[in-house]
Amino acid sequence: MDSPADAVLTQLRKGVLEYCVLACLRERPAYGLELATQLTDGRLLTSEGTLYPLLSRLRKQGLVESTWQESTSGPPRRYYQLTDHGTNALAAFAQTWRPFSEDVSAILEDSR
Amino acid sequence: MNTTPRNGLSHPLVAAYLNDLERALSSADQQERIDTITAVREHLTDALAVDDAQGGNTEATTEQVRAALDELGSVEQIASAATPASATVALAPPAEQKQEGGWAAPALLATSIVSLVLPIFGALLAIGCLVTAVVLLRGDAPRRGMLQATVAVSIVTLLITAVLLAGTLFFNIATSTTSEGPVISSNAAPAPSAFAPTPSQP
Repeated sequence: MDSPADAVLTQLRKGVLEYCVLACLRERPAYGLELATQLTDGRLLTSEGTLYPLLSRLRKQGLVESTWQESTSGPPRRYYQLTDHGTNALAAFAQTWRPFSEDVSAILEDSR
Repeated sequence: MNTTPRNGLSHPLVAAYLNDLERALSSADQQERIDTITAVREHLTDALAVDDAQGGNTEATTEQVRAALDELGSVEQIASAATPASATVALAPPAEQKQEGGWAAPALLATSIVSLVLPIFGALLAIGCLVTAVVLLRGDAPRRGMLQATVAVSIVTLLITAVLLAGTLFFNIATSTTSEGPVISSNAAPAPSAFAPTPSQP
């Protein structure tokens, strides 16, 4: 059974993970394993495989699109990249997240 | 040296994992299921190809395959991150119902108004309009005002039809009662002759 801290983390991930995926793609396109490793290293994903249903939803929502590119170490890879819609969604999240996280931090500090 | 990543996918552990994943996603949204299985195959192709390149071996070892599958997580974890198919199906009908109610309400109201001026057949139309409008009102159809107006007009049509039928029936009974008088008297007319004394025999 999950500890209370794990349960909180699970809830928090649900709200922010899709924007973290968009943020990983802000600078350049990335392929699945690359994205999964980056997010798992940052403890944002519990397991790499859970990234793929999320990527499918992001594509369905038009936030992300994929293209095939040649690879130097094997067959062509599917690269995911932000759409204009995805860029706007990420900008809106970033704009909201900073004051929101500051408010949460301030409340947590005050209630000590 | 270029690797042959399909070797990794043909490993029995990978084949079993992909089969289990397909089963675990059987109740997931169809597009997510297809995308996820394809992406996990690509992920494993990359993960095992990288390992092959590092080890200088074209065949992924069982340890490398196990490590890659552990990183991916259990198939149940992946399935729990997918949208259930029932969620997408459950969302669809209300949207359709609302769309149906969108054109149905004005059409029903127009039909019920037409039913007002049609004798007899109008009552059948009114019953149809009334039932459909009540069914839509019990749901969450839009344009509820129009549906309520349809119910009112249909009831008026049915009342008018009932009054007309009752009037016609009453008129028929009255007419038949009046027309029966002369028949009785004409029948009665010969009666006296029936009782008339027969001519006396000579």
